[in-house]
Amino acid sequence: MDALTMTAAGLLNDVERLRVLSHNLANATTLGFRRDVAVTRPFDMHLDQAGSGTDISPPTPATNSDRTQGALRHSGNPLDVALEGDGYFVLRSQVGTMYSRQGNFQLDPQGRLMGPNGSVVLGASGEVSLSNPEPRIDQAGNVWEGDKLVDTLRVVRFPEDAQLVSLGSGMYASNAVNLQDVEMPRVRQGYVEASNVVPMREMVRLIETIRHFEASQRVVRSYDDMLDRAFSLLGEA
Amino acid sequence: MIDSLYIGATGMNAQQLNIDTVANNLANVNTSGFKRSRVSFEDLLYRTVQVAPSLLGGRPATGRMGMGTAVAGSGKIFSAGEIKKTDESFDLAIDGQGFFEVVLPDGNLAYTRNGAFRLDGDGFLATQDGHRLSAQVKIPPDALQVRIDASGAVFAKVPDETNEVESGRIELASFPNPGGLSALGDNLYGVTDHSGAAVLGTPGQTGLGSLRQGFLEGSNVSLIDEMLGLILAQRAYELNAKVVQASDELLSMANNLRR
Repeated sequence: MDALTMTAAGLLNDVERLRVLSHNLANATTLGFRRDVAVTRPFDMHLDQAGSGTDISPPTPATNSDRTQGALRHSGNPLDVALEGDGYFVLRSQVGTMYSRQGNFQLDPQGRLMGPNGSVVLGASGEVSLSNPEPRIDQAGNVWEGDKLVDTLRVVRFPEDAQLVSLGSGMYASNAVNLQDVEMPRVRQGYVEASNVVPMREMVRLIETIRHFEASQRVVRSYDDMLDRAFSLLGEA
Repeated sequence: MIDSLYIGATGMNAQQLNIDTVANNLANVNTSGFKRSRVSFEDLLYRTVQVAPSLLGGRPATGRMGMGTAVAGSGKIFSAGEIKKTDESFDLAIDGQGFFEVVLPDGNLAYTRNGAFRLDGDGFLATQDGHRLSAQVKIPPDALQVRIDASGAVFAKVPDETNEVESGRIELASFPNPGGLSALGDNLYGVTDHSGAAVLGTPGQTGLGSLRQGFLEGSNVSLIDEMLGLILAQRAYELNAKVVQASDELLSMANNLRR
């Protein structure tokens, strides 16, 4: 692989990093959002992949989500619930079971507790049906209407290495089989979890990315200059 | 050309709507019975890419590309406002859940939390805009004093009568999902498929709030929360603008690869 191809791969990689950063910054105020972390592949992998060919291989976009807890913000809305610590709410949608940290739920006309995009929030015994739009939800996730226990919200935890696929709208799907119910979830009613994006960190990365792109651009230009000089010198001879 | 440019734009669009909503909330900080709106956002993902997990080492990474943010919805927050004393006999505050049901000029029903009523030309209880209560409560023209109790019964004291005369009953409406009501303006709400049908009931019973005569419910907008929201929205807008600027810089550098 020549210098030009390597630098071009670096340039494409920076564009991809900028996409991840801008996605994070666009979601700085999205409730329950988990920031994406761009996964950059070590250089030898690029080398292996490139092999004998001289194609500029576009970087494969890959991201992990940063599972750090976002700050809890008071909203006072009885249907807003936030999770403190590890865990995900379980929702059922048309395409299967999904998991979410975004606890700003709503009710449908039948009084069922709903998540985003028409998904239904699941409790220990299935759907959570309410007869009153202002239930009381305690720390353990028990949903009360007066003195009557309606259901307990399901909160599950994933093993550290489980694959969580982000589906947008704060929803995740997973192929993990060994899901554990969190025994003592800490559910806070009237709170929402803010996005875990820290603008400072993203801005620093943004500067880094832009400058790296700039440096790479200079390399390409110098290389171009070098070739230019080589041709003219050789031509004179 | 490059994704980050468009992603930055989705963020700016979203924050624009956020600021509009905060502005509307702030403008109504003194509107009786006003309920604040809240915009919620969601992350957009719509491009899937195949990733060979073995290539990445460590925790498997997902091959879905984030594409910015979108507005998930804007809804009213029906938390209670502060109840203020006014001493006006036709001012009613709902202490708890429920809505007054009024009739619009076109015959449709609408719902409101603003209990600042007055009498219309025919002696019926109506809102300031002249929409009558659906219960059609008529106060006798010679009434000296009107008393409305917590359960919505309206009594009038008329001359030459020792006992008060009952002149009607005010009922309150409740909804399975009040968050799904549509705001019609003028503090009125309309039924939608999301809210479910209105259920009328006696104030103070089956979860409905009781009525308090001589009081009005203030707006539930909190100045501090809104100011905080405004600062956040403004700064988030700025951040996204910076992303657009950075993407532009990057494109310009790419164009200058060859001089």
